[in-house]
Amino acid sequence: MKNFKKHKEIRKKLKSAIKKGTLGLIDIGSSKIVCIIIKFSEINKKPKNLDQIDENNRVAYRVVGVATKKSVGIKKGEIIIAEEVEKTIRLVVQQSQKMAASIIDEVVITFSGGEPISKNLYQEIRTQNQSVSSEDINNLLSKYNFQIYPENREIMHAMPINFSLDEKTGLTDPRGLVGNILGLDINLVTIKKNVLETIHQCLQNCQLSLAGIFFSPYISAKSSLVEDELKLGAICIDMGAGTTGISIFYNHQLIFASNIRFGSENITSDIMQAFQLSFNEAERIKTLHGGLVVTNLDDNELIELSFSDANKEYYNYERPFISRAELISVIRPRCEEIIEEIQFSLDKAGLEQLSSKRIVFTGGGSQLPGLYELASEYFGARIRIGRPMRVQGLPQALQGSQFSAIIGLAIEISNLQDEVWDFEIPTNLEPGQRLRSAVNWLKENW
Amino acid sequence: MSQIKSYPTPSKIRYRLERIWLRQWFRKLVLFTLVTLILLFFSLFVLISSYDWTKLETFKQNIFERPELSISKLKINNANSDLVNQINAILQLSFPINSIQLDIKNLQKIINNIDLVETANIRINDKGVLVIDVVERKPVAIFREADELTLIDIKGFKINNIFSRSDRKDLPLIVGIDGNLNVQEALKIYQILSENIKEIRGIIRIGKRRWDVILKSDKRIKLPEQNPKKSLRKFLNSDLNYLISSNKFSVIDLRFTNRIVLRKVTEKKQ
Repeated sequence: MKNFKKHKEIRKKLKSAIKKGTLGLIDIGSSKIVCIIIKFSEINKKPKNLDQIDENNRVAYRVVGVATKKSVGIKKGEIIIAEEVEKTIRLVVQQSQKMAASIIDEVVITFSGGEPISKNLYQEIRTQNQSVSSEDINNLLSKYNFQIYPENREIMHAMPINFSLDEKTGLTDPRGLVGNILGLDINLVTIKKNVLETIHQCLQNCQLSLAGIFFSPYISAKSSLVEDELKLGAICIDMGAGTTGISIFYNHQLIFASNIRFGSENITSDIMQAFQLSFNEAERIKTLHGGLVVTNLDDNELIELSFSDANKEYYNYERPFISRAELISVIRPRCEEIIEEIQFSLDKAGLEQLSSKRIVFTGGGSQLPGLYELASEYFGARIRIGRPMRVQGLPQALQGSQFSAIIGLAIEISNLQDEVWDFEIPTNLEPGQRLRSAVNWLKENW
Repeated sequence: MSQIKSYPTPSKIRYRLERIWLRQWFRKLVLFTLVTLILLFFSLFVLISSYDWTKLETFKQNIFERPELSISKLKINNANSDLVNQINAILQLSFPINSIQLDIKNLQKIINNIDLVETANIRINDKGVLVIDVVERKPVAIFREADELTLIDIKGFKINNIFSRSDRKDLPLIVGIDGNLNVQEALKIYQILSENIKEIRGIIRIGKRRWDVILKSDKRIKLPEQNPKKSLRKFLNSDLNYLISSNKFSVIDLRFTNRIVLRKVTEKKQ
């Protein structure tokens, strides 16, 4: 039985930071590191002018400091050069602190690396009395065996997603309901332990303490999906630079999360190789002229290449122009590959029976023109290119879909999802119970 | 990995300092200290510029003029009138004087520097009298050096000059380079001789090592370097002591232990 000591500590820090009033949010992405500082106003008071979904218990806050920097030393969402990442985090924190004119000690991190694995656990118990009490829920949680396999993994999320009572399912809060058998689905997201500890170490070197860590596909879905989509179920695809995250929501709960190690950075490197350009130039052409659907007009549309880089002698001088059709022909296969990968991992998750086949694309890669057409061709579902919701105080420059993760983090912090470690799990069982559990264990193993 | 180019980031120390500066309590502390310092300086300035300094002066005087602290008299013990006059002239104290203003250590230094004084002890007694206990140097011999006659004490310290040998006929005369460094021995020799002979003119240090005694008849007794007293006493007690009163010899040489060498008076000298 795991007692989630570390997770509880981190959660306690987050609660105290919210009480103190300021909290830093950092998105460690493959292409950029974003830090925003949010200031909380009165807790548990409904905000007057907030362009967010109204919900009880939502904490009012506003963004007071923002800083974005291109990330160095991060590959596929994982830190590969700790020193450079520390430097960037320091820079970003410093700038946002200057803007906010206040200091942050606790930061909440979101990132997409670490080879996440999402799996669902199910257990059920008999209720002690007629109606379900919170004690029953705690007892139920204590029945779970959060043994992680293999050993080098750490639990990132363990969210109770669905309570069932007898034949009824889809309950969010079963307390007070009358029934005999109480069941619970838990979605467990685990990532590599060393990846998590590297982030811990980096933050410690920046004099910051970790107050929470969230998986970025889950977080960006929180900002991109609208209320109906969350309720009826939707797939959110976060196309980042290094990785593409997939998260599936149903009934306001994350039921599956995964990660593909392909991203829009791969598209850029394809352009780099095809036209012999520098990375920055390829990125510029991709963002300004990139697309996925070829039209007749594109053959005539010539894109001027600029060789303003220092090492321009190395690159091809003789072709200062390429046509847009050529560019699209380079981008499209890679995009198709990514979409195929998404499809593959969705099939693997076995969620064909999801009632509402709604797919929402978000992240920086989703801004590629023509993605809508391409994706609807493949998925045959309702596609939407999502943009993150508005958060009070966020500057206009940070409202693009590439910032969906950091905005989602702010939204998540204001309305925290319950995790397993938020419950009081009874660790020391009664002597009789302990004996019974030992007998059960013997029964199961022989 | 040619893409990796690190930022010109601020140093770790600067990052930490900036974080400290952003702390509310730190800012409050800085503000508080600044304000208190400014207030303190301002109030000090106001005080200093507005204060009536004559008040302080009168206050000081009031303190100094208390009868408990004033000294009314100077008393010098164990000194002859000459020395008393000399001390009075050097100190130049005008009574009454305040005991706080008096630097006793300095006074003691000044008095100790007087030639006639060996040691001096200064104190203020309960009746407000400045008492100086002086130990005078006692002249025991006259020392002649480059036609200058000086009184010296037992340690060879030069006390003061005299004009003529006849001023102090009671004291023996010592002559010669470094003659004043071994006054005690010279006096002993003088004493031994004066038991028998009255006509001693003086005693000379020869070559910084031994003594010659000159008698009034220009007779010279040469004493050895080692044990001059012993050999002198031996000579005086022997039956050869008549040689002293004899006129035939100008020099009696006692430098050898087992014989006495005599020099005849030359014709010329006679």
